[in-house]
Amino acid sequence: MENRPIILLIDDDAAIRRLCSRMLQRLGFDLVEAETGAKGLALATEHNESLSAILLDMNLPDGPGQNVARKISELPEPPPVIFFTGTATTEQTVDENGQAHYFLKKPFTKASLEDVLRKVEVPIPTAST
Amino acid sequence: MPVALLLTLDPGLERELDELWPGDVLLTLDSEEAVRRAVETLEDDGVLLVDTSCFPPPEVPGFLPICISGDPAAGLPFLERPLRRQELLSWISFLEHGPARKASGGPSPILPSPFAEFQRDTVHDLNNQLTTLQGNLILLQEENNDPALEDMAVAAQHAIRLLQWMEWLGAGEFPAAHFHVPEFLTQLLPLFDRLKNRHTEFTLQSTSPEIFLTLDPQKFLSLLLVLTHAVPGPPRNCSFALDQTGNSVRLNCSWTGQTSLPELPGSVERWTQALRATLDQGPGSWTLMFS
Repeated sequence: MENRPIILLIDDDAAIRRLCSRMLQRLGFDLVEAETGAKGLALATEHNESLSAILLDMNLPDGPGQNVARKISELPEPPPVIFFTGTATTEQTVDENGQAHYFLKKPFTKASLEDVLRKVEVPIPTAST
Repeated sequence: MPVALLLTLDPGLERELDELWPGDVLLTLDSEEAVRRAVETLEDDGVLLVDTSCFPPPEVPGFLPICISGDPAAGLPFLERPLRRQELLSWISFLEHGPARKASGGPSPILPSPFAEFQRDTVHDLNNQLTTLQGNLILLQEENNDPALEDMAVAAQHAIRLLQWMEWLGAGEFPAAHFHVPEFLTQLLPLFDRLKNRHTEFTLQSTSPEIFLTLDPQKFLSLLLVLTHAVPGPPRNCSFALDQTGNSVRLNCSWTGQTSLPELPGSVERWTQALRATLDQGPGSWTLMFS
């Protein structure tokens, strides 16, 4: 059985994690979850080379998501990070190290999630029509 | 006006501050290192605006920090979004000339209003609930044609729109904005039926998809609400027509049923002048012209 690509989700809201799990499974991904930045960073380190992308909430109980993103960027094979936000629009910005940052505004749908995954050039196993 | 450095990863915040900032120099930087390098090249002291949803406030000699948006840092000034020009200027003036500069221990400890923080957290949590609701409804609709799901999905979409309006109206003061008028009106129309006890159907026709205005959206919204509320009846139908000729934007409202001229409060003339618009009235219609 072919291995499905893996996405790491870091969000403290359990219902959001379950929703993303359903959406990503329908898109053909497997999901690894964490409810804090510290646990998310540990999972990112453990699964580093096999992660297609990371979905990261900007407001985590143990600190801003951007702190986690910075540490993730120091991994040997950092995957693209997509920030969940309630304020920014779905856009991209590039920092001084050339690393792109993408935002996905809540509330989001399966279609907008798929759209931003395409923007970070993650192949969608079961692309919607 | 002092030099301002903005530390953020959010392009939306950069745009928002760009519209408000009255001074000549506003540098947007995306790391603490970049801030320190920029400070080394600047001759004057200034203000460091820190997006604390992205970064903890760094200590930078000569630059007094103001926290924006995320978690407030104990002892530092804090601004919530959407930003208010007067509040921003007040903090800058306070930091430049107030006790913060004179005290040896740094800025006075000032905490954000607990009510404002509660509102912010409530909106954030409500946004998460609506995300869960709408997202799961759409997934269910992929497998099930039950019309009840369609009703629920429409209600969820409407709730999201209402939340956006709550966030906007709750701010109390809107920044001047360059906004897309057809989209603005399309989002507003479903709320207008409250002005007419839900008896009226509102529609919009726009001759061009790309009509923009640069003006105070709060005054524009206030004017629209008053003019729409003044429509006699309530009529069964009320139609908005939006078109642009050259630099002039024309918004017409016409209705069926009673055609008597609406009675308008005195504030309409003030708002119209403040928006640099003209208002024409006729039987069964009113028209705003912006140039």
